[in-house]
Amino acid sequence: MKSLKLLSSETFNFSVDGLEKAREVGLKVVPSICRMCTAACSIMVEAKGNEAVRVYGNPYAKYHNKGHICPRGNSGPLQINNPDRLRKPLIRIGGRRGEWNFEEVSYERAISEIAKVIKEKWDEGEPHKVILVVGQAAAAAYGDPISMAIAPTLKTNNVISLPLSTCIGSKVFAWGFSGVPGVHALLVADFERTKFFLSYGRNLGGSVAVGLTAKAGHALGNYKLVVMDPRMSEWASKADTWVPVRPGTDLAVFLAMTNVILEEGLYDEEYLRKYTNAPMLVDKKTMEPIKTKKIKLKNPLKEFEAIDFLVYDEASESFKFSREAKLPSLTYEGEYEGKEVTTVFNLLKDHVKEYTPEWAERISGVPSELITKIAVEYAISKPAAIEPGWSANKYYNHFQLYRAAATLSIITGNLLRPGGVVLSMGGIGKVLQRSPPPIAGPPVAPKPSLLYEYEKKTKIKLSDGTVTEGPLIPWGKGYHGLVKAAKEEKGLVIIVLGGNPARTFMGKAFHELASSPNVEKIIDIGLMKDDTVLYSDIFVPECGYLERYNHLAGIPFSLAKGFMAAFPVIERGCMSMLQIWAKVFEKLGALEEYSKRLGQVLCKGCDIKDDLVNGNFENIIKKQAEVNGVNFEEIKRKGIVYLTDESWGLEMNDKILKNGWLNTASGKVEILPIKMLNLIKKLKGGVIKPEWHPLPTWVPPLWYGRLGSDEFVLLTGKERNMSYTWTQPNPLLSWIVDEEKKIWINKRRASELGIRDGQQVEVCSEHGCIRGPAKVTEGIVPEAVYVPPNYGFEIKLLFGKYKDMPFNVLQSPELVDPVTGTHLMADMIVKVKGV
Amino acid sequence: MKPAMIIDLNKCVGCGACVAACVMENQYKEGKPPEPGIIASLLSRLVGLPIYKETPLKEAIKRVERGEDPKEVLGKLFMTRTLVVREESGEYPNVKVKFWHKICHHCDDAPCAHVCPTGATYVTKEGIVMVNKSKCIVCGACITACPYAARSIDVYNRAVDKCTLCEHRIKKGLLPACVETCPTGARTFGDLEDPKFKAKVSKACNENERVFFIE
Repeated sequence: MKSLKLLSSETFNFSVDGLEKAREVGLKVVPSICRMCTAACSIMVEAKGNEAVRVYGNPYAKYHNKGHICPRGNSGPLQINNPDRLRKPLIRIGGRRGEWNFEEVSYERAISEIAKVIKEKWDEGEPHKVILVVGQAAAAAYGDPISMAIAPTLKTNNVISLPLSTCIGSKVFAWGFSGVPGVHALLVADFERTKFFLSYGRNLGGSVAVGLTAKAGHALGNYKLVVMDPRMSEWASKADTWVPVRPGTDLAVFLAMTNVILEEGLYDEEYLRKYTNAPMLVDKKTMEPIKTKKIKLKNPLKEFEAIDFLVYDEASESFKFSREAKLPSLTYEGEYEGKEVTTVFNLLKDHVKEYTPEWAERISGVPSELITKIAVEYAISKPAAIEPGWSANKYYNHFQLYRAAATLSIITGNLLRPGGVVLSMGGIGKVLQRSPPPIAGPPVAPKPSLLYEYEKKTKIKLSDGTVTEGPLIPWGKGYHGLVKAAKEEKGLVIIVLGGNPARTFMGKAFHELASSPNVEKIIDIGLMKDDTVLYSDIFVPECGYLERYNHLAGIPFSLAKGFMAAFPVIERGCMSMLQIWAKVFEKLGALEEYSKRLGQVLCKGCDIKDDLVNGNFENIIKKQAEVNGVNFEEIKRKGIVYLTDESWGLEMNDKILKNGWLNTASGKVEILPIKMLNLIKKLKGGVIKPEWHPLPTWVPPLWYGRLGSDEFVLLTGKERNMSYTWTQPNPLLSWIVDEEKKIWINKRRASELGIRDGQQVEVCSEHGCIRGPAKVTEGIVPEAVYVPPNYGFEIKLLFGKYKDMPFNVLQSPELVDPVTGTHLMADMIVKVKGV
Repeated sequence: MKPAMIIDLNKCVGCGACVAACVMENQYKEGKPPEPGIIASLLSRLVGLPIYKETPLKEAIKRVERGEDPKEVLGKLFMTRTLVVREESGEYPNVKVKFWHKICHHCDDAPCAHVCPTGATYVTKEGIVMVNKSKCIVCGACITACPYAARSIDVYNRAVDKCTLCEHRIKKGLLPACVETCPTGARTFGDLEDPKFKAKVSKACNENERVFFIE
């Protein structure tokens, strides 16, 4: 017991010693990257023989998951050894999709079949009819390789990314318009330095992404935590103040907070004058910048063109371009060359005037005094952070919700400031490279594709009663376009990569596609036996994450610069996604092209052709390490290597802010996005609607004003044991770490309906019904019923649970966000009854 | 040396990582279960007492494939030495939620040790309450005596099972599996003879135990 004294409960590098000691005595411990959810924690995996027996948080990951992992991460070996893993490729030998009628074949045979299908499309001159559907797991592990190497080599630009189309589209664009990439891993709340955190739309306790939860959790008590959530989630239970809000109305609260902060003069004046376009002079009527000029800017990675805008300089009492003015005025109003001009700041202040706390109380149910109190506290606590967003898009108004969140962060001077909302390592890189949209900002021009053309045809009813064709920004990533395409276009080939669209939010749309004669083939490259396999024609299994390498990649959520990689813990004779495609392209004579593209993505153009074909991924990591200045032996031992500490990230955020290197037209933080004004002109004839008003604007959720006394608003959010369908049949997660009362209903409402705690209930929307056990609780707003995003299943899964609770049957693929076309998860009215 | 654990309920988000880590460390990692003894084998033949020969996962697969209820099978095969249970109080909107942790508190004056007729339950000199499984006759007295419902049955060894504070790990200078994995640092571990650690314990709401709760 002597060595115990060496441990201190406050140090988190304790296990570095333990880990290295374990290795000294001959234990096999291999670094990997957790893929039990999309958060990519750095892990160490202990193996006994050819079995992975334990997963540990990597103690070397001190700026990431800090040596911890969640229950899903811990149970990884049970996924690898799950009885419902499919180990052999399958080819349909008869029957229709939806019938299990397959023959087990070799990789070689399945890959030949896939190549044949693609070649036919190429020969017919219709490569664009190959549609890639990328699931959560594949998007997290292979996002860039798929979009920048696999899709272009397939000669298709039709890629549906399920995370983008169902989760994060609206927030990516909303933050993007202000110049920062809104993708999870790229923009983060700086928990470790904040004094106040305003959380909404997210359960950091249940939907654990340890890279963030560890930071937020360890710092609990150092900052004031306000959690706005219709239900008392795990995270809300940690809050100093829980703010129960009606679903989809947090936007009203944010707008009222903005109003209070501006009216009370609690904004950060210096920040707004210097780093934002709040002083930009605009035409009072059209909101167009009154005068701009082109300028050249240079950041450490790129020289680029931007514009500068006219301001009124209070120092020289004259009109000047912002970068030349000493004291740009926030409040100037007057004439410029015969036109009435005002500032963006004035516009915003006027625009939000009607959004009083009393108004917001009527909509959200949050008391006006509380709204004012939170607004004041948020503004005066320096620094303060706001949740950049996680699993939106849930409600119709979520684009405006995230615009409002971005605006709150900006007016209080907290964007790109320590303790506020900051760019991570990846975010810094994307902004400095001026990466193409949507990652680092919204598209400035549409990129036509088959899906794009059909997305434009989706009719969306707007809040003013008019109907518009297509969202403001159809970007060809949603499946509402594909459903329409399948009605008119023959010979479509759908290739699913690492996902289960038959059972996740695409569900209904996928079933419609699977039964369409216009869909010639469905190919599924995945991991587990699931319903998507059942509805496919060809299935190819990829390696599980503990059975393969993961190329060298940046560290998500991290302010410190560094890299992670994964090495196979066990050997199971499988092929990884990148290798499967190498083999397919080899048969198509396109290997050269694929490996060139992939080499570009992975290691700035290094030659990886032979490594790819031979499956020599260790060599690829070696080449990547060399290019990135990382010691290969070190990464192989530690799994994660830092080149800097967090001060690098904070300094880079500061530089981007102060030099105006953001990914906006002006390079400054834009409250009124110039790119957005241009898009509205280009795509909607300049007609501004509340849904895409460039300033944060109230848009009611679809349910608002339509709720009958016996009805509820649907609410959803992740649970602690569930990431995606692949975690669904995990015996440990599904049966041991499971809270079995699933469907939350307010106690008073339950009693009115005669529903008892634990009773089976049926929840029906106009689109379908699900069944599950009720949790009667005081911890949810009376208007909402919470249904966890379980997936249900049609095939037999040995340890599957809640077969009759497939969330997606409550939804419709036709319901989309009017700005980005992102599918709505939960903006539905439901009825509940006991069964 | 007085090993002890602190569970700060203000930091616990109820994620269950501790539960999963404990099961994986203390059961899954163990792999193959011990061979059943002569008596168990005899009883099995004579009165049909079930014998578990495979690892918990393989055993569970076999039984669920045979049509047994997964909940019952897994609950029996995977022992939960610790659990996190949500407790709600108050009325909407003034609701409080606490996460109650099932775990052996390693009481200084352990009632389970007092009632054990065979001396299978014992307290180590460091204060860890342990079970010598070869001496346990599964009479159930300790299960009834435990004020924290922290004991369960190990069907493989036909003995009572409980938290050992991961004695096998702390001996090597490692932290208990649950403490190591805890994402928010709600579970911490240290030596009561270390004044710094001891100071933290002073905030705890319980005494005379080795697992301290801060609420």
